[in-house]
Amino acid sequence: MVVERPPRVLFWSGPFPPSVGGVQAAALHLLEGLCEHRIELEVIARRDRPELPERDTVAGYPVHRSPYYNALASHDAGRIVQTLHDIEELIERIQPDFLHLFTVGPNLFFVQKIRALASLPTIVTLHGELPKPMIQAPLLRNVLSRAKTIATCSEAVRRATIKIFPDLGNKIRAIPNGIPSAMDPVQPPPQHPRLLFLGRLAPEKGLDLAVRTLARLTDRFPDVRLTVAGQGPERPGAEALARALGVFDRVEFLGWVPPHDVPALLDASTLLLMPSRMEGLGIAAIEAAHRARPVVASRTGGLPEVIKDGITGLTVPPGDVPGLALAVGRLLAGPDLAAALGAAARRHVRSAFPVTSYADAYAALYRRHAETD
Amino acid sequence: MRDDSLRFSIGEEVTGKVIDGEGVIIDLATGIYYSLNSVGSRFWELLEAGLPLGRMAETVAGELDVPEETVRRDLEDLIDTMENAGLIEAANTGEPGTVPAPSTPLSGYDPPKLTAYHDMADLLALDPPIPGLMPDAWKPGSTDKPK
Repeated sequence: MVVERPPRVLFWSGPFPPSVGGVQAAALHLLEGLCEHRIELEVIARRDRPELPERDTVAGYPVHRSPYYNALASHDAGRIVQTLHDIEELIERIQPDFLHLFTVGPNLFFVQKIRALASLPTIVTLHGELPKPMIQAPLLRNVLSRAKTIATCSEAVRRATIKIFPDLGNKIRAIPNGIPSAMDPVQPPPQHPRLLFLGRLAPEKGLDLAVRTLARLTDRFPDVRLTVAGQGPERPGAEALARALGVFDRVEFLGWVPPHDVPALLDASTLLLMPSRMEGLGIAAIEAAHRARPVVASRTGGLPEVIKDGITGLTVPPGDVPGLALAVGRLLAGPDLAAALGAAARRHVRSAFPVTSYADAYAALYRRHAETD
Repeated sequence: MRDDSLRFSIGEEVTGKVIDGEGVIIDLATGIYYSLNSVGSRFWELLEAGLPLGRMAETVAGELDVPEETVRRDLEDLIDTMENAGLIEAANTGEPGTVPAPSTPLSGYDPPKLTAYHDMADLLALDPPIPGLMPDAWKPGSTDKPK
């Protein structure tokens, strides 16, 4: 197949702005970066809530929101079949050259069922290590087997995926997420020590570990506070834990924070605490580095690719609360060290995770498949 | 070969729907999802209408101009598969139904095919929706817990 016109991509991402999270941010930054390229692209995203418009435009690209997740989760065969037909009609109209599955999940059911999709050359992006139950899932195996390229958000996820699917190793490659650089000057840290936890309040993010870390710091740093930005099922448990450890009055739960307010939130913090149990790459760590804030994090997933221990931040083994407290304590007691790590972090992410390289890599992939398939 | 007059009932916890030749069946007891190709979907419509085995094969053979023995063999295979999966059972109760019009005209004959999706619960868990978006939950300088 030789395509004279620009490659026409069907980009399917379950989570998508305006909802927030690492995947949503990665999708948005990619689309913004692709605007510089001659690519035709339309998006299918999950319509989680009825108030979200069915048709939208993001970064200049048409977005079609489909209630496919809710249809499948409803166990209502009629809704599922209707959704299937709606997506089929959309594909018929778009006539894509290939499919980019930016997330994998229940969308695989529709990809398998709709012949026009099942026969398309496909790129799959993986944003984290696949959970154990999924490894044997035939739908996932089918899609990955016939994918032209499997892109991972970090080297760590690439290595983990090759370990699971060694036979697919030659088509698995890392394309690290990139985010736009902050151009404004570095702000001084706040007068009183403030730790920031930024992300979904899900078990793998380790909010409980952050609260436990805080509790170990209060004797030495009586003014220390923890700001929690994000929402999710772990909040009630974290609140209860904070009460039990006597630090509830030191924790601010902000709930959901819109992306455009995150830089100000980072500027108002001394450091970012990422005690994640699992992390594909760690977009929040890159965001913190752009604001010249050091990160104290677990050495898990892609985080060591973002944070060079002792150079751009401090890392400890996953789940090591005493280690986290020790590392945070070093930075709170040593503002010069914190400033030096923050400045080095800013330089590192500007060179290692530029949004242009990220979008360029995907644009090149689109073109390559358009020319060769 | 089974008796021509044999009819079937759909399991109590089984829900199925055919729209425009596309069929989806869900076994609520096991959480397994199934899809049917176009000929399989047509058989599901006939089965739901309470047609006996012989009439189902005769109807599809007539609609698609395919030898009835071919259709009958494939139909019995499909019935076996659906019975083994617990989706239907033989039950000659009530009056035999009449042939419903197809939801969409079939374009050709492919043997009926039932595909099972055992991993739907895992797929749904892999990519769950983020808890509700609250655009006004935070404004700079304010928190939901006054300090």
